[in-house]
Amino acid sequence: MLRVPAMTALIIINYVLQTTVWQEMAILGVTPDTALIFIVSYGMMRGEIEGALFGLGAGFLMDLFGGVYVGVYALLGFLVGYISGKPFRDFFKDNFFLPFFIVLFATVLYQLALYVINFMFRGQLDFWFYVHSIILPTTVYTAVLAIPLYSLLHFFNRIIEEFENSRRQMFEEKDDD
Amino acid sequence: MVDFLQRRKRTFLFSGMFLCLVAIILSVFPGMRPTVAEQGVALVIVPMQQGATRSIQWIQGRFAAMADNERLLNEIAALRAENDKLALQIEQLYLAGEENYHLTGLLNMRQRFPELPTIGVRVISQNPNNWRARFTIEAGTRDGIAIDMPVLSGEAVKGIIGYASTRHAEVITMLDSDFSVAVRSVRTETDGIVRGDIQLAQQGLVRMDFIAAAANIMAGDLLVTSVYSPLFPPGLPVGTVVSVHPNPDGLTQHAIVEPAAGSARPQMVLVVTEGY
Repeated sequence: MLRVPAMTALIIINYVLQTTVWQEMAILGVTPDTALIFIVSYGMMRGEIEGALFGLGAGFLMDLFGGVYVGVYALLGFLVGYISGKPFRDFFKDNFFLPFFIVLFATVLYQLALYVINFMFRGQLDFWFYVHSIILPTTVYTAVLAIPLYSLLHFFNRIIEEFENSRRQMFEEKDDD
Repeated sequence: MVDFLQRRKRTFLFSGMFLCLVAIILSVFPGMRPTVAEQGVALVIVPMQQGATRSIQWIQGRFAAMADNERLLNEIAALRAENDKLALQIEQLYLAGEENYHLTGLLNMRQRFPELPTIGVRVISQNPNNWRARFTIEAGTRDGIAIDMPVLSGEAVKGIIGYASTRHAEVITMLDSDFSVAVRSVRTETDGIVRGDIQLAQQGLVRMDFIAAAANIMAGDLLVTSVYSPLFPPGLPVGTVVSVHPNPDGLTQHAIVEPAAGSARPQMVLVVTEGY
């Protein structure tokens, strides 16, 4: 029961920080996509179902506040969360370098999808400009933050799992009685 | 719940995608956005954004004071050592001075265009999407803000209201590729359309299109909003021409324009409400 409010709070706090604090830390005119880091990390820790639900929630919040059409970010977050959780759930969770590469790869795909949705369909085809001015800096900046933010989420996830295990044991003991 | 979904992964995946696609299609139509959800979420998010923005401004104010005037900083530090309460008052006065500076700018704008009904509002956050140049202001429909209202900053056009909720609104700035406004050159009375361009936005510039090939427009020309603009009152400063380039068709030319309101995100803006 603790997981849902904790993850909801994480999504909201991350969005507030992403729209305020991180905007002041732009490098080369871009800011990191910390929501994507959390979606990928959560998917890797908890599997495709919870990863997809986390991505859906985080994306839906972005849609409500800054999306031109409601559902675009939710769909992208949903798919990223699902795909991140699919093959990587069985990996060693304390390996902090794997998230770096997964986030790197996911950010490139995510930014390419945003380019296609926002610009390519509108005839703005200067692809290499977008690659070196937005996609590449955003990807590098986001990937650099992947390890510390994965560690943070890993820490919170472990606390929640310990809490859930203790609750489960308590109920099992009651059942035994 | 998760165990139930684990057994139906494929159904879950396709249901989620289907729901998102339905939401996207519905939101294309006017009046179909989930405004109740937006307003509910805004009740939580907007105060948090306001708090975060004020904290950042406070911190930036502190750093600016350090950089600008070391002597003043030492003086403040000495005073703080003597009296914590007095130091706190100095910080508050500094913030008030910052706010006064921005409000004075808005007041000048009001005096320059006295017939414009305007309200001054604070900027609270920026759209996190690196593909967009938009920011959020802490006023919404309950304050009289509506979609398509012009937004001014530094006595010039800054953007337009792209979306308005009850408590907040999103401003599409001139740098955003969704922005466009009809303009006229003050010197030559040449008409054109100024619009955002993501490639120029990196340098804080915008583009003016549809300039007749014969038009004698040149670098340094001042552009103001035209009488042909359906949304902006005529005569508002838009920008200054930086360079002019002929188009390959030989019939038209385009210009690179530096926005008069600058490219940085302001702390306060003026929204022109109805009545012009």
